[in-house]
Amino acid sequence: MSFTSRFANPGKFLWLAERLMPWFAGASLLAFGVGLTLTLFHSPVDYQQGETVRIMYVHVPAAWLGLMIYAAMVVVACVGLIMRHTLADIFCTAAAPVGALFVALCLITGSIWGHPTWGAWWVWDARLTSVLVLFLIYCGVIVLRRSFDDHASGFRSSAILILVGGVNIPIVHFSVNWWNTLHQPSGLLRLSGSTVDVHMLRPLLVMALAYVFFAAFLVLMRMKTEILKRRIEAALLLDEDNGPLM
Amino acid sequence: MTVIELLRHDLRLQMRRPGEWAALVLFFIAIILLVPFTVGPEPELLRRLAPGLIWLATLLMSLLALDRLFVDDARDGTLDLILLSPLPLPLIVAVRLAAQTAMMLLALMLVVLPAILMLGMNVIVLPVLALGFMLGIPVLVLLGGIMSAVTISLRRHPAMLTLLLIPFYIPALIFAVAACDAVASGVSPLPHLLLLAAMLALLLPTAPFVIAAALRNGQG
Repeated sequence: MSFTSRFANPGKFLWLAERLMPWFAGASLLAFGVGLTLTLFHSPVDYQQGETVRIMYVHVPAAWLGLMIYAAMVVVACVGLIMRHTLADIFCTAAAPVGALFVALCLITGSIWGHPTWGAWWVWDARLTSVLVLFLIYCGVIVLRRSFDDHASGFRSSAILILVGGVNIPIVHFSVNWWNTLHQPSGLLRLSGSTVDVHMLRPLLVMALAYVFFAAFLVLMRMKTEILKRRIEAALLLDEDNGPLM
Repeated sequence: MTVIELLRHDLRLQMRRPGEWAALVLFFIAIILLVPFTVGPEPELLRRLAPGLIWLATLLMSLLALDRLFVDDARDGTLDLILLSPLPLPLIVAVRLAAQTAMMLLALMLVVLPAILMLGMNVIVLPVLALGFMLGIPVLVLLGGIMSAVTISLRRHPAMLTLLLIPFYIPALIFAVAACDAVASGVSPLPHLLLLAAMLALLLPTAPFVIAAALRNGQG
């Protein structure tokens, strides 16, 4: 049996998740400690943006995570539709609010940065609009999944929505290059190499690591809760005397 | 049942409920009618806003028309019979979508002229607006069909369908209105129309299959 199939069993997955969670939490705390110290005290001030450049260290990783979680949901929804693992549903249900949280964080920190830099809390720029669309799609996925009582058909419906919404991911990523509007293009992910100074790159990457571990911890915790919730649901259904209909 | 018969059947069903389409047409006019009272009756302002407002009213009208695609059939049991048909389901879905698109375009032909007069839209924008409708209405209908099929088994709140659809409607709206604005300011509308056409080209071959899968999931 392959590695992925073995841990597709919710019980086995729970065993693995419970062992990984403390490590992820610890790694995240450590990286946040180091990252925030670097960000606040040991990183240079930008010659144009001044001190507000420090918002970038919490803004950019949030945007990455918001995109990465959605991309992961697309892959898992696809696998779930084909292989019919219950764990796919549990991941998508658990990860969507976490992704929405990071996108919201990205929008809020971007807004706080935009006010002193661009002079407006919000502009209808291509990047901002496409990220807002991503947030709305996350909301749609959450609302749709929650309004189903039946897990199997609920998963398939929300998986279809997740796959259709996946079209937005490359649009968000390339929006800064395709439409030359206000938001600056990415300085990091370029074929010609990063344009970010190494003294700014280091704290940014540490913060990104902190965010990744934090997201992994949150998703695992929510998946664990979801698995336990479904076990309780199943137990209540079996035990007619304590049935939820009583 | 052949495809032609299916199309005639769907169109006839749409034609035999003229009251509902009349309500949609009046709804469109009502929105346009409210505009001068919300933004003020300044002719120059209305002229500039006209394409965007017409598209906004179109979008709201298409949201209201969505229940006629599958939801009414699911309610009275027709959908169960459609699912049993020997014809491939994506084909039936495609025909249904084509009929809905045709009716939407027909309804718009009736209302767009009064709307243009009421808002005093620049006449040179009209061909691009019409072309935008030809490309954009199928996009709205295809997206609406997907979301309507995904939620088919739910006792829905109307706001939910709107929440699901708005993020996908936004790009179509952006390109359709940008094309009109480009022509009004003397720039070529071609890039925006091509992007709208690209959306249609992406949705047209995929949406019927997605909708068919969602409908089977909902009723199965």
